[in-house]
Amino acid sequence: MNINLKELTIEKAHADMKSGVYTPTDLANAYLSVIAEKNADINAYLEVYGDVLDQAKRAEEMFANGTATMMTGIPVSLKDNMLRTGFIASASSKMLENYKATYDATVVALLKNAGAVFIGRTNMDEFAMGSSTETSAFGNTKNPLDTSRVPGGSSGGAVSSVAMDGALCALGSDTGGSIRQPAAFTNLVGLKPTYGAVSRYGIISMGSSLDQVGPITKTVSESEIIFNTINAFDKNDGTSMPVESRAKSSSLKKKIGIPREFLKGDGIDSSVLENFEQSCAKLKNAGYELVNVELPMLKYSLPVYYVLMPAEVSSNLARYDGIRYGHHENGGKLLDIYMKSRGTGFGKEVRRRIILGTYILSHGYYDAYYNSAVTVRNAIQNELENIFKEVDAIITPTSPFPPFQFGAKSKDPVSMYMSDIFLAPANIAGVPAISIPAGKTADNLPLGLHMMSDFHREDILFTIGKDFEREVLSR
Amino acid sequence: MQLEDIKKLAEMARVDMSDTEMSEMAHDFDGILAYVGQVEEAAKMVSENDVNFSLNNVAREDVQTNRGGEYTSKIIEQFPDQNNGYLKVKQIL
Repeated sequence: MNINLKELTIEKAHADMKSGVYTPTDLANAYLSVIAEKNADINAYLEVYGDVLDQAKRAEEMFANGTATMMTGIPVSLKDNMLRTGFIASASSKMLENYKATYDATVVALLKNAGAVFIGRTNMDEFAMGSSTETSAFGNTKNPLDTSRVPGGSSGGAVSSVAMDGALCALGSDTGGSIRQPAAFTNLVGLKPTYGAVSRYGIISMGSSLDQVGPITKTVSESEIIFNTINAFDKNDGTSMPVESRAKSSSLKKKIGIPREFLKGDGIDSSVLENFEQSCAKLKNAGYELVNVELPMLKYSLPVYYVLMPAEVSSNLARYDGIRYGHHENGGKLLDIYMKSRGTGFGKEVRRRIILGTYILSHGYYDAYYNSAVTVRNAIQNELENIFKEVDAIITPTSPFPPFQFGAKSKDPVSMYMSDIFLAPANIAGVPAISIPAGKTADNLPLGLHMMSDFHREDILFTIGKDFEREVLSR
Repeated sequence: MQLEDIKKLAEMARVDMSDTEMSEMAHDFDGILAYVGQVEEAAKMVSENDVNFSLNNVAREDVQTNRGGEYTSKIIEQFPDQNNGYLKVKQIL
């Protein structure tokens, strides 16, 4: 049974399975074969779930009794920070290497009810801290488009699972760009929903005011299908936005804003700027008016992120103490157990960010760093809210540089952090944002176009996104 | 940042690290803090009127929401050491 996985979409797979061209079991097996062939090299998956074919059987029953949804029988990979009952979720850390989830994340439950088939858990930067998947405690993941290069991070395994045809789609998480940047690095669509749109219940926390779960797919319409499945109020998530408080749809202004000042920084590759101009031309061709927008506070998003996120990390990772679960080192006294368990369970980047966060929250520095960052965050949020009264969306490149080689950004932490310069604003403000494939560099490396819209206006991202996608494919 | 500063933070955060790593971290922090220090200046540019912190209390009633014992065995399975369903820990007193 030869299924063309490279060209397959959720819509086509659904139609094929509904009309009996192949079964969910055939489809699952097709992906399992690819994984058997490629995963040892790519290392997208840390584990293939042992019950894939049982899940496929249940999907078949749903088609048989007429309860199948668009997601029934669709092979999905889960990032290693998403809890699935009875299976390990380790956040790619030695700290949780053998931790078995005791409950399902809400997004997992929603997709399970829709009949999706979870293939396995994908590699990530440890505790989602990184932009290249190089900080994983379980090895690097290679970019399937160029195996000498990183797939981006922290959802590097997620994007690679799709790019290597080891899954039809994936779930990733995004705290400071971790869905969008790796999607751009592997020529895929990555969506970070509005903060509060998708439940964080059962997602291993990194930065609670920043984390969001989102889909990774080949096309914008597939992204929309998955988003519609996981976009829901959840009473188990105290930050979940009630449906009645979410923005209502309104017609597009057909106007897109470009923060020109923001694109003038150093460290932006010329190939990226060139490609961005081409993307602007494509959007004009699709009937959009492009205007320059002034967003003077926007450039503080990344420094604000690197104050708030480590602070929240130091708090969220305090629970990993080797006492109730997770990595445990024996020591003389209780304090030794804490220090040794955490010292050996956590990797270097995690230790760095915990210490940074501890410093930021400590007496004497709290006002200068944390409180200042909270104030500036609020100003950035207001700035964006005001601009969305004038334009439908704001565009920038996704990444300031194309996918880089392993080790290229490891010497200076700030150079790695700069990967997310265009992406952090969406996490800081909480607005939805998407990365869409925008073409390749002269060296055939993928680049993404990044778009932000107003709170709960993912529909704008999908509409403009599909128009842009059409222009890219028609060239 | 000095090694001594990192040592104090490491103890506060309960994370054991080598002196080499902590010295390296002290050096890295100079670069990182110089970069994020911008937020202090930026905050001064924000006027009081522009700041809007409206919060909504979503805390639920403090009542039992699951069956007694519903998750107990799954949780006990994760304990590094247990005795009769009790988590065994180091003697503190």
